[in-house]
Amino acid sequence: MENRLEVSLVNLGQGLQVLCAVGLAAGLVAMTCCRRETPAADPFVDLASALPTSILAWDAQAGDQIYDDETIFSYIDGHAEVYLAYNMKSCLSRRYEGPDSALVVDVFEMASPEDAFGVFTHDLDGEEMGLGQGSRLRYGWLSMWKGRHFVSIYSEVESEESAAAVLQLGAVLDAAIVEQGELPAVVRELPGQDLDRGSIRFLHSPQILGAHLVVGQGNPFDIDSETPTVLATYRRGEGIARVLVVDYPDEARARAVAETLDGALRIGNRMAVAVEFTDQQLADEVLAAMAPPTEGEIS
Amino acid sequence: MSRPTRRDLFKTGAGAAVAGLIGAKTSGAGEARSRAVMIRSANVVAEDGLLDGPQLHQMMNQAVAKLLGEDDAASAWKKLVKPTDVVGVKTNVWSNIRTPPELEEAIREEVVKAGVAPADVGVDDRGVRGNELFKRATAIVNVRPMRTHHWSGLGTCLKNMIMFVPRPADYHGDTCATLGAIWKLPELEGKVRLNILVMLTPQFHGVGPHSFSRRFVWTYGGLIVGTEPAPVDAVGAAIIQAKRDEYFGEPTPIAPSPHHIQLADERYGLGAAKLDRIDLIRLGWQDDALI
Repeated sequence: MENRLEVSLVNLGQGLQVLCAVGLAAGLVAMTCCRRETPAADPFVDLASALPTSILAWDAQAGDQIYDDETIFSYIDGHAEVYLAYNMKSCLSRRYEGPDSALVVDVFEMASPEDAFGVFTHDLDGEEMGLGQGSRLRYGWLSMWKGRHFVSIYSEVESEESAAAVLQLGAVLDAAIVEQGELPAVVRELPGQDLDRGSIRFLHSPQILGAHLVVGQGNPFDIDSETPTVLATYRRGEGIARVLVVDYPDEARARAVAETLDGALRIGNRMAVAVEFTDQQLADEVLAAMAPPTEGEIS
Repeated sequence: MSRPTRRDLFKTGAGAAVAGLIGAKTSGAGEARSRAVMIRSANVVAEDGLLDGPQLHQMMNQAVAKLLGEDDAASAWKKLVKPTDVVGVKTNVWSNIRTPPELEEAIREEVVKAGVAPADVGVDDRGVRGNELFKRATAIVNVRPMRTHHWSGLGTCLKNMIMFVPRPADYHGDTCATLGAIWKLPELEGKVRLNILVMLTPQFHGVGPHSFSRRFVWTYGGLIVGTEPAPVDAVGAAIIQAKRDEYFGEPTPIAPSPHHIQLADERYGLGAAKLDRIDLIRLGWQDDALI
């Protein structure tokens, strides 16, 4: 099992950076944090309290905003469905104003760690920053997942100072979110050899799949909220193989889908298929690695 | 019945769809040609981002006159709307890049000059379904800014009509492939007289929950106008694609694939979506046109 995907996507080589960031965050919290007024039922009361009232040159604006799965449309203009597709429960938003620009902190509480991981994988561009259970920084935007939370911290204007502020806020939230989550089994059990970890997309919505893979009309893979799905790319030299793996609630659904696809593999209630490849051998090897001869029914 | 192979499933892959938008030959589309006019100005958007409203109005009129083959804008607008029309201006109020109010007002002014009663001209975006004026509209002017979009690849003139359906999410499948069908609804079919794709400060990439970053917005200073939506959007898409390739230093396909534009041509007959079938008339500033 040494070639199976490790639980965390965090780049361990950047652990030192994590420690520095968290240490700095702890100092900041000690210096500037105070409890903000939030409703008693507010699931974010602890996180809001942990966030500082100022960070470098930026000051928190009065009145954190909290959105639920209906009011989120008024906040995330045209993009909310992505979060709803990952079972968003609520979102805490705080804005920090600086001399020339703002920082926007959005903390999403999802229904499960799997959902938080999934929405994190929606965009894995950027550099791993060693925060939370996975993080990325690009173009002034830090994304991070930990437990049931997905964190987005965005700087309207990019500068060295704003990047530092974004990372410090990320470290504060990393420290404040104590819950850890486990990767979905369908992701955890991906063969690790040749896997491009930045290509992993976890989802359970045909619309989200359509955002990553052109599937044409309909829902040929029968994906819905009950089918944890991963899309991942394997690379070897110049060759690639992109695989889709779906866990269905029962074998019948897995069998029904597998029977419509050329070259699909079914192991119990799991279906795997290479959806794009330039290296047939790589595709075959990846699928073979998912089907140890002694495990489950293979068709 | 033979079962589909994975190659069948993915034969309309993203690469192919985008290639279609930038002029590659594909089968299935008709041979009818379409016309679009692109007008640009180097200074309609100032360095501080402020818009020159009068110049924008003039640009719009110049483009509309050229589109309709008229010497003056007034004659062109009279071809587009009749005094008896009720005109809905479908705008777009996305908070980060909206249709400029100056442009909305310019359209309203020209429509009224063409003889439509001021009370019979209305501007709306998200409230069109409940808007009494839009309910009795006999003509629509469609105006919106171009930007990348999470579900459809691009926020286009085609996409701008999604607010006419009760459940927009119903059209999100296959990256909004069926947006053209909305144009066949009774509220819209045959009513859209003019499409204006605002390319003043388009967005060529999006990041984060709000899908916006100033880094990915640039001053293009343009408008693209046409009586059909697909050619207008196809020209805009080609410019966005070129900007992405230039910015990222390598081919960076618009993602997800905006193949709703190509399908609007092939499936719904909403004008040509391939550049080799579009007569693109260029007016004004030509530098860095990317097309």
